[in-house]
Amino acid sequence: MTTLHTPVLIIGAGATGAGVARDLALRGVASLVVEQADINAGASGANHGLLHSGCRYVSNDAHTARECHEESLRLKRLMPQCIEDTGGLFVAVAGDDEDYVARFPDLCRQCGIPVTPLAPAEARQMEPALSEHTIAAFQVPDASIDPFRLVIQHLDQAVELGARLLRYHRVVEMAPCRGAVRSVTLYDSKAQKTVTVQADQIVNAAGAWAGQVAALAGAGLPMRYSKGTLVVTHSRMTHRVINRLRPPGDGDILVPGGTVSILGTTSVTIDDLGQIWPTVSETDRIVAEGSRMVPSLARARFIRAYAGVRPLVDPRPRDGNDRQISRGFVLMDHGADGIANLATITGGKLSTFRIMARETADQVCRRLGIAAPSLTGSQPLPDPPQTAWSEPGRSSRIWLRQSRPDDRLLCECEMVSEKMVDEVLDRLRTRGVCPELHALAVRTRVGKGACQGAFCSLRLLAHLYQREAVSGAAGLGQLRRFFEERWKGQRPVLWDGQLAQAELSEALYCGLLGLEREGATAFEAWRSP
Amino acid sequence: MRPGFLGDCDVAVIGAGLAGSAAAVFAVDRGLSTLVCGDSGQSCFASGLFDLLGAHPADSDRFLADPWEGLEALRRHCPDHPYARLRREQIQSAVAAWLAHLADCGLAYRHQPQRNLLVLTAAGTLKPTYAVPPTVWPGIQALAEGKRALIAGFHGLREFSAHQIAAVAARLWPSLRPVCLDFPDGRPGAERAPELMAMAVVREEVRRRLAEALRQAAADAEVVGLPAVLGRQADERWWRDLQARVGRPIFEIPTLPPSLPGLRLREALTDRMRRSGMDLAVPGRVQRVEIQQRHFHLELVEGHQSRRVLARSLIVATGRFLGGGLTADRQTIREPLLDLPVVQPPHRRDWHRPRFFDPAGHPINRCGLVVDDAFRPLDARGRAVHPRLAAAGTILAGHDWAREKCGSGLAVASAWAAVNTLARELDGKAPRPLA
Ligand SMILES: Cc1cc2nc3c(=O)[nH]c(=O)nc-3n(C[C@H](O)[C@H](O)[C@H](O)COP(=O)(O)OP(=O)(O)OC[C@H]3O[C@@H](n4cnc5c(N)ncnc54)[C@H](O)[C@@H]3O)c2cc1C
Ligand SMILES: Cc1cc2nc3c(=O)[nH]c(=O)nc-3n(C[C@H](O)[C@H](O)[C@H](O)COP(=O)(O)OP(=O)(O)OC[C@H]3O[C@@H](n4cnc5c(N)ncnc54)[C@H](O)[C@@H]3O)c2cc1C
Repeated sequence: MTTLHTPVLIIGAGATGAGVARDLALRGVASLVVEQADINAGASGANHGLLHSGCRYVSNDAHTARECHEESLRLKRLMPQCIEDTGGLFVAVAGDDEDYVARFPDLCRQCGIPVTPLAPAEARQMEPALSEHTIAAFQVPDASIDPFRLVIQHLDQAVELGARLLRYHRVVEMAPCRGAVRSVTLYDSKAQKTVTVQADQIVNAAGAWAGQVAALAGAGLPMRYSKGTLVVTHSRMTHRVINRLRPPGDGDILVPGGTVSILGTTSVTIDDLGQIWPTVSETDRIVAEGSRMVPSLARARFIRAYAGVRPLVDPRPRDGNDRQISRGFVLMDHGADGIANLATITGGKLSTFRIMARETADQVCRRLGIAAPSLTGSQPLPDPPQTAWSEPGRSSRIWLRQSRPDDRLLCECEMVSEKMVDEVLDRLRTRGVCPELHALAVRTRVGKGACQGAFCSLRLLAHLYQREAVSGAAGLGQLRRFFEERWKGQRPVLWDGQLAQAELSEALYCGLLGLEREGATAFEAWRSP
Repeated sequence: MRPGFLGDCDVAVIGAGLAGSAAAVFAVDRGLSTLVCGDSGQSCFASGLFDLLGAHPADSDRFLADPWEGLEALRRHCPDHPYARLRREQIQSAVAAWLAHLADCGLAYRHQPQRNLLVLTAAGTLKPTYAVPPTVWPGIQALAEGKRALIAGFHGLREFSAHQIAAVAARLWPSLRPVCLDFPDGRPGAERAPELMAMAVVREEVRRRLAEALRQAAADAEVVGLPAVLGRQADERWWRDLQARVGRPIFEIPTLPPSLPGLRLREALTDRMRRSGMDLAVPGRVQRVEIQQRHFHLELVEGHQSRRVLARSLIVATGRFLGGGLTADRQTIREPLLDLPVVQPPHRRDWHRPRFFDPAGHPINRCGLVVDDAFRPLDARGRAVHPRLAAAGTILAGHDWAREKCGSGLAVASAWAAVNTLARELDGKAPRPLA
């Protein structure tokens, strides 16, 4: 059996795990990041992408509000490539609680967040899509953030500095022995074998799964899960982030990013982490609520929906309103559980991932006896061009600018070309990552446009075969899995134009190619004479 | 004639996909004056393969070798399937009449009456079909005999990878060898579209150099497979010429839509209509249909022009969601032209299954127009909406053509039945028996 050695094992390749890996790497500490699926498989790949100004939390969590505001200013400075500084509005429509509206600007000021009141007419001039029933509006420093580019670039730099990433490796066993976890067992789901890791320190950054991971080491961590669903529009609806000016509820934030807008969310307590997909009724509810702020949402074309889970660490049962539980993060050293080398970091939000990572890395370094300070608060995040293809609109901008006759588009909706894919492919190879269909799609915009991958995944697959990145019949399995994954998000938004798209997929994949049947048994009738 | 008035006819067909085109051909054969309204937009999407029935039940893990056996079973299991309203002889007559018509248009489809063919697709998968264009046929034979074959792709033809085809098909056709060539039209490295390649193939110089490259790459291969690029029209000349030059049978593999075998089918049909002197097809979209006692009044819009057609009978062959024959908002699926009742699952959450490749198929695929045994749409109370109103093709309820591999067969058979009904119903016009 393979045994790997590392000073620090990080479990989970979401924003937090990637943040810890980079923070440690900048201090000269090597780490091994293990992830059960691919990067951003959890909440980091299924969130709203709002870099919070903090205004959303001013009424119930002043600490978080203040922290968000200060951190958002820092991130805008240190990693501007991951952020679109759109600015934001909070708007109330007729019928909303006017008392809340009246208190809002003061609450913001108390948290140090600058807000500017706008007359409804002024707001509608800035954002023509706003409802004519808008009764109040404030301008706030919200922005949108691309969690894919963020995590890709964090891991890219960490690996550059000596970290290692193992994808499709799930932690399945941790054996505490004499006050510490000495060895961790991983299951490699691609090679279908187990791998052992011996680490001095272990960071559990498994997001909503952190409770399950902690339990493997015999540590208790009471957690609750809150599922949130979001929908993506076909075209961008507003210039700025639009928030409903009321206590947090369903369908009250619209975040633009590149060429699309994302509307969300819901908040539903779930018990089973295997059930994370968006449903038809959630989608309908968000659209109904959202169209009260932005009426054109009622008629908009949506290209997909998705869902993520917020981990809520809270021992006490509540009355079902998950939004009352603090969105702050939890860092546990598990000393009380009698384990000296495990740290769990969970909860929190994308906007504060860097702080979460820094505090975790501080604790790890203390335990390792390393004095080097965190540098993530001052060092800008590098922006190598090969790691930037997840940005919406970037491929098309560059494609249009370069227009090279010898480069061909693989994805026409999002204008992703062969050369762009090849750049990512080569980078993955040098980073030791197997460049299968899913890995390339996560790192580019392939399949994220209106056709939702129907044509482009076939082209991308053909290209991968041409580049010898796939062999045998394995590519078809990758294609089926990739399409099933996209399907979860398409299913809730299939009416009008997207329904016709789904019918085209059905005609192509099943009618023309017969991909719904696997294996040779399908053709047995032709064998016997 | 009043301005904007186009004329009257015995039969107006709405929709010029496969079902509408077949209905028009059958109606003309019966001596009925016929107008087809609509462009054939979607039919160029198809692959040009003629499926009859390739899978039944839809969720079986096997494909059907004998489509007729499958049809018998389907008649017993699925009484609501459009095929279940037809006797075997009717389906046979419809298919025979259609294939004869295609041969007449210069597209001599090949098939084996009792058996489905196995065809190699552009993804390297195999799928059952019933009849194929002549240029596809040598591949069917070569696969059946397990011949050594060279599959040649071309740089710049994005969705066709010879390497993929050879790798994926290897289990069932191990002796495939892939090669990727430069298409010899003097534009190395350029992006390739099958249609433009097909235009280049007409040039003798291109064929000569292509043949040279293929001959060199072929080595011990007994046959050569290419993406379908050998000519835009239903004209076997370029294909035959290339075979002679390469000295081996050559077969085409339909590319993703729009694919040339589909385009050739469309060209052949419209060409034939033009040559026969009947300007059958009226481009544009039908915006409104009114049923008045004796006639159907159709309002057709093309660009800024609006025209009217008077018809004594009507066939609705407007397809499904892609063609616009059915539309859906967040709650309901509708037939937009005549507001005919559409059977459908009660709620949107039941339209699709959680898994795309679920072998049972999506319930929405079976929604559509319910018809009687004469293929007349029924109203909410289960009575024919009008004695001379029929429907054909994929808009019908009760089938799942993509999973059952029956798109073309269903279109042609239902068109045949619809025309029979109208011919019978049209007073004063004795239906002419077919030769
Ligand atoms: C619907 C929704 C909307 C949100 N919107 C916003 C927003 O707009 N702004 C904002 O700032 N925050 C937002 N958040 C919060 C934010 O997304 C999360 O706080 C953040 O992404 C958490 O990152 P993480 O790395 O801690 O967890 P995750 O991203 O969940 O990462 C955990 C990783 O661990 C892996 N893992 C789990 N178990 C194992 C195991 N046994 N072995 C190996 N790997 C394992 C998982 O596969 C996963 O990739 C939102 C969250 C949700 C759910
Ligand atoms: C990608 C793809 C691959 C396929 N592959 C195969 C295959 O391999 N084998 C096979 O047998 N079949 C295949 N088919 C299916 C085959 O094309 C259909 O089954 C066949 O076209 C019958 O469809 P139809 O005529 O009922 O509808 P359609 O082809 O959809 O035609 C309906 C037509 O009506 C028109 N229309 C709608 N409303 C109006 C209006 N108001 N006024 C005027 N016109 C209107 C539409 O524009 C459209 O052109 C494929 C189809 C697709 C899309």
